[in-house]
Amino acid sequence: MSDILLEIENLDLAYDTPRGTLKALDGVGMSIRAGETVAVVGESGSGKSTVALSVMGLLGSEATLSGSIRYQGRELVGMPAEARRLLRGRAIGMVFQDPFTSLNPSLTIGEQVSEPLVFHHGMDKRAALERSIAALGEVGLPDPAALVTVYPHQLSGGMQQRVLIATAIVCDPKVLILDEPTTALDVTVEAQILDLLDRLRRDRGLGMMFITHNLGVVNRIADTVCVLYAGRLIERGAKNAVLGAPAHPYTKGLLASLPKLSDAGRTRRIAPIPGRFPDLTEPPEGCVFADRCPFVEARCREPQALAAIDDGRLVRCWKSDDLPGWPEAAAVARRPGRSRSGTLLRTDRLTKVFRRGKIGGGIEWKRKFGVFPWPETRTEAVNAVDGISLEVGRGEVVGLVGESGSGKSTFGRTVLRLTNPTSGGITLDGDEIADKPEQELGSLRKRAQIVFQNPDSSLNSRRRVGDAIARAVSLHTNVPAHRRREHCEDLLDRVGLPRGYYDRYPHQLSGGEKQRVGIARAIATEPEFIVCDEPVSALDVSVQATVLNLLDDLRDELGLSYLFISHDLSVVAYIADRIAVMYSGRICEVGPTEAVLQPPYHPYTEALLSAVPLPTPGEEFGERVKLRGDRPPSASERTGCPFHTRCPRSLGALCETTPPPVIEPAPGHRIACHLDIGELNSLPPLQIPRTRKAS
Amino acid sequence: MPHPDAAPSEGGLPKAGRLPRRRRRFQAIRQAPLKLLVGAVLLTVLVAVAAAAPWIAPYGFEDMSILKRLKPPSAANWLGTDEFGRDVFSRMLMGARLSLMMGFAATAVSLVIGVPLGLWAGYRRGPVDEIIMRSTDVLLSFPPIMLGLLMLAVTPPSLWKLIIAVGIVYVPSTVRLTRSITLGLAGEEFVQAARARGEKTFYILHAEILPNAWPPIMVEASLRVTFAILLGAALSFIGLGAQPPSSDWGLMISEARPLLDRAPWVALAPGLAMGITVIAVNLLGDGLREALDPRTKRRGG
Repeated sequence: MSDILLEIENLDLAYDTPRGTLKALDGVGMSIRAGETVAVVGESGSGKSTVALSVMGLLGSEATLSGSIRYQGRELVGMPAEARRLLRGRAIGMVFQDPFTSLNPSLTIGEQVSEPLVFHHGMDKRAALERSIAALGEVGLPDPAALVTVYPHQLSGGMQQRVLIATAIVCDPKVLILDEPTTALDVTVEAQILDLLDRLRRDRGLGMMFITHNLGVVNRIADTVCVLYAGRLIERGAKNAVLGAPAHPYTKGLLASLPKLSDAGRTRRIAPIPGRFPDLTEPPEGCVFADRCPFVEARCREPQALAAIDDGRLVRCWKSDDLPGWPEAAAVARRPGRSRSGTLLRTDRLTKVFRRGKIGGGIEWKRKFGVFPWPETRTEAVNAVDGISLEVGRGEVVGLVGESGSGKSTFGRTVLRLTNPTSGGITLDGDEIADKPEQELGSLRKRAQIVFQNPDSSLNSRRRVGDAIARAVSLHTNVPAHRRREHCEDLLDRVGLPRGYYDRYPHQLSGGEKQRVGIARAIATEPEFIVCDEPVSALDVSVQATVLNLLDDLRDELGLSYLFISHDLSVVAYIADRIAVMYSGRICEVGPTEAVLQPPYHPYTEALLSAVPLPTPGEEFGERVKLRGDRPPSASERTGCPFHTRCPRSLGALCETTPPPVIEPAPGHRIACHLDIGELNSLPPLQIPRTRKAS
Repeated sequence: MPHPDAAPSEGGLPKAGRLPRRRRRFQAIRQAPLKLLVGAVLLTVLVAVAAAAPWIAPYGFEDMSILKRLKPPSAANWLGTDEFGRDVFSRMLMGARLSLMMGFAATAVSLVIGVPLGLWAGYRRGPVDEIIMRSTDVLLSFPPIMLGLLMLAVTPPSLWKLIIAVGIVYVPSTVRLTRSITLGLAGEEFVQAARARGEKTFYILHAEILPNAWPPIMVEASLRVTFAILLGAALSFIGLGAQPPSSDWGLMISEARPLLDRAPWVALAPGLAMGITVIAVNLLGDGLREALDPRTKRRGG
């Protein structure tokens, strides 16, 4: 018992809102031992961050907390604010989600890391700085002594997250709370951070509370998993048990609605969780998940207790013992019309160069209009898109994968002429559109559309849902004015929304519903080609599945082609026929989905694949490829292969100076790499049981 | 990914010296509408009084009476009389017409010119932006009163010229505000979506961007009304606005200046009226801002 660091029991949290009391947490309990990682999993609104804030005592004053939080036997609930403040940072450290906003941009790294030491331990600044340097070294930052004098904007996202972790551990806390620490990071960087956290846990015997929505990350790092839904703890148990054989219907649904790399090739649809999140101001009396549960019975409407099942797991479901698996969605047969017939869109060495102020570049004098001396900030060219030639066939889905900053979104927007290309060609159905003036793009505007990432920003909050759709209909179709409303309602119907949503405003819709409106708006012009720019990245897992299925259906029904942009390989692998992997403005590999996911592949593809955290215990990539650093090449390093600065298989001078040749191991599968085909072939394959394909 | 559960924790750390929870919540809910209500009521009264001035004024604003020169406030002349024996109260009521019109019309002028320019500059960027913004910078570099003087001094003064001059003085700040809002909105995905369906620039500006830019612009404009009244009064005071014998608060103060030691009530009345107007409009503007700001709105659900 003594090694329990943090124990939470029966934690209730209520917020007073104008609409009544909102029960954000109800009877949440967990315990964290030294050296143990407890993952708190849930979708947005599940209350997982609230648990962290309760433990840290950072809740707003409108929250009413009851229950018990004990740190090494000391009760934290009701502790005076001053005593609480002394524990914060010293006993319990916390790392927040977004490294880009968690560091103060006007303080040096040294000041920020050493501040808690000065505050908690009363150290003088010099001693504190020395300890900080040691902590920065411990989190794997290169040259920590020089790092203390730099400012946050000079560091990459991964480095900033390491700095935050260093700040959290510098006072030697026993418990570390991590609130989505890797969500804002790229997969390869995420893998590095997870390795770091695991090492810290082992070296320091830390107890970690790891809050995340990503079941793959849970599988990689957690010992124990707590699944939250609507503020209720619905399942708690050892990681392998919970993820391997989920007992609660919600956990089952969550796992079933994840697109998995092993399912690539779209032999079956992913099974979504239907319905909406309950209103917590009037929570249902019985099981909170009952309205969305496929196994619901009358007894589910009675209050549910957390009960232990065989393997020591706690489950809040009376019938968890004899539940079948989550109902699987019907398998879809590939329709004959699905194979591509002819090229719809083709880009030819498309480039887009941005100029941006060079960090630390200073000011230089230029001549304005050739005469007047004029001070300007020094700029540098950023090759966002650097000579991309890609084809999208009619009725084909091409997935574009890459990390943030790889230029994939810029490419998508340049293809639609939402930004103008710097050079290169774009042809839509044989029609050259790269340098047409805006007024002559009418046909492109009708035939090509876009679906955006952010459901909140993609709809105009001051206009009704129907207006945006109706506008597209009136501009590009010949539906007569008196039939327009009906036509728009048909479109809403088509994307699975009630017809009455025509008159609603965006704030009355949930994220997934807004995304459906965005899709309805895109198909309103009756396009042939849609750029889907991270369409599901901002959505919760269960909602993501329904939107993916919708996009998939629409493609079949309307014969659409997609350029599907995403950072998430599993999502792309699920929906795409072909995948193009982008790094720093260039395509390093392109080919049919099956081929890209198997060797031979580009070393970068290999690194990406091996970094994807897989949610099923036992399914793991053999040996994880470790990339150096986390930054794309700077302008001066852009000779040769753009990946040479991070490539673990770099051949040295050759890769640094000579652009890689394109090799074609199979027709349509192209890899730009100096390694020869034999070496690429011998890269380790993805260690995934591929038995499911047979069924 | 915004967490609904994260929202209430904003404003995070427990504040020192806090009020009981119930009372603070009461205040938060009451404050915004109270300001708005008081401001709106005050302003409505002012406008009504100004509109009805000829009928409710006890005397004609031009009626002189040599016998009643510089009389202090009394039952017959509530706020006294000026050096020509004109009733100060009546003149103040009539002056409200000119001053209020001055404030609102000049603000309208600054909006009509400034908002489209700001929208255009913020959306098109590049050379258009440079030309518009550098021109407004030139205007901004003059002190407002000098700029008004510059425009009025060369031609014989008249009310509509004053309104336009004061309006133009406030164009640069309107342009700047509108442009900065537009810059942010132009990058939003719904604007990109409008471009992707081939909307014309004019449509994007007036149907997609303007409705979202309105709340901050309106709040700013309501506060600018007071500046316009004050600037108009200042220019009238110098003699470049309303001309005698017509009545305007600024003009009244200007005319009363030599009499300040003998008959302070002549200047006091329009001064007070102006003060009340400024307070009313500011309350209204403040209330509007709080009511329209989504961050304060969240509390009200």
